[in-house]
Amino acid sequence: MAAISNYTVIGTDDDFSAVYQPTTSTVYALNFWAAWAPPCVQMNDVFEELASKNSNIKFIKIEAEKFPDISEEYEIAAVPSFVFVKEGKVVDRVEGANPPELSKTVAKYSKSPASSATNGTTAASTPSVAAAPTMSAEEMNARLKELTSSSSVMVFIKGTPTAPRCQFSRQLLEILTAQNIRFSSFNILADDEVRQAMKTFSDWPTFPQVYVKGEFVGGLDVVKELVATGEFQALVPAEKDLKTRMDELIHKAPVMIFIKGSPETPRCGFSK
Amino acid sequence: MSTPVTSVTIESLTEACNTKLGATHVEGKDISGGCGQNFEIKIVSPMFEGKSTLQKHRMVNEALKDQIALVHAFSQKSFTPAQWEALQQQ
Repeated sequence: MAAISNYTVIGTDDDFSAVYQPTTSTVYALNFWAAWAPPCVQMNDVFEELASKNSNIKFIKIEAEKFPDISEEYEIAAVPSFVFVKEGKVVDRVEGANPPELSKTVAKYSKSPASSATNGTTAASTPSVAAAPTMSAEEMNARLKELTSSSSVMVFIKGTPTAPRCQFSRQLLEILTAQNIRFSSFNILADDEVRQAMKTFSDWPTFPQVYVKGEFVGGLDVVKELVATGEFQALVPAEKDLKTRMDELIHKAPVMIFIKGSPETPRCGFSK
Repeated sequence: MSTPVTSVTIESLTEACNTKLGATHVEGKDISGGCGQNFEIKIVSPMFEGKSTLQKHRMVNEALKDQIALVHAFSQKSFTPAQWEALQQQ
């Protein structure tokens, strides 16, 4: 993964003093973690993800027990703990493995758009979902309806297809790839509003979540069972190889025109 | 009446399956590697008869809602008694 310039992992005490400049107005997000605490692993991923999305905040990852002085200075009693520092003062703290809380707090100090969604797709191109400010329940519902139907197979995962952030999301992606199924995805770690709203919308407490043709199919366990019985493949035919698709398309009508856009909305002067 | 659960164990999950899902057989496994927050559970119950996969999973989610909310991760496999028998024969 490309190095993120606002993300530092502390190797020595000097590293910390090199990165941390209390005299500037930069906001620092400090992640105190420990390798022996499993919740930290998930939070570390979330922390890194937030770093890539909030370039005006400096994210610093500190292995608490290796740096007892720094940990003591910030009164770290348990891991994971996240401390937000500005102009030499602690302005916020998030205790424990609480991704939504951490995202919310980061958003408070961030200058980047409040939330942004990135869609990773295997083959098809889907327009990426635009960032949305806080909206009413109705608006959110309408947005989710649109989102869940935006692709024949739409999956809501933690992370992206190239960088899944959770073993269950990763397993789901592996299954879809193995079944050669074309899908679009939404990273719920990048948009906490959608993440929370989806739990109510789908009436399902966890992620990943799978929608086929706008209908909720289930989570990983359900998909595994459906794949085992062949039901899933019946719901979603596998992607035909490119040659077959091309053959079918070319022969679809007596006259076939390949243009940029659609007849109603041509996307290029020549196609028009 | 089951008492409110403050921490989740294989016993507490099994009890909820028995009382709320009429389970005839429950196999719970703690796959957390120590932090006690990740469970895998197999449930056999006649209440699953005639239900689609999604419906079965929703039933389980509903019955174990309070406990699922307390753990880090939760996986389930649900079977009707007939399905379970067929599995044992393999």
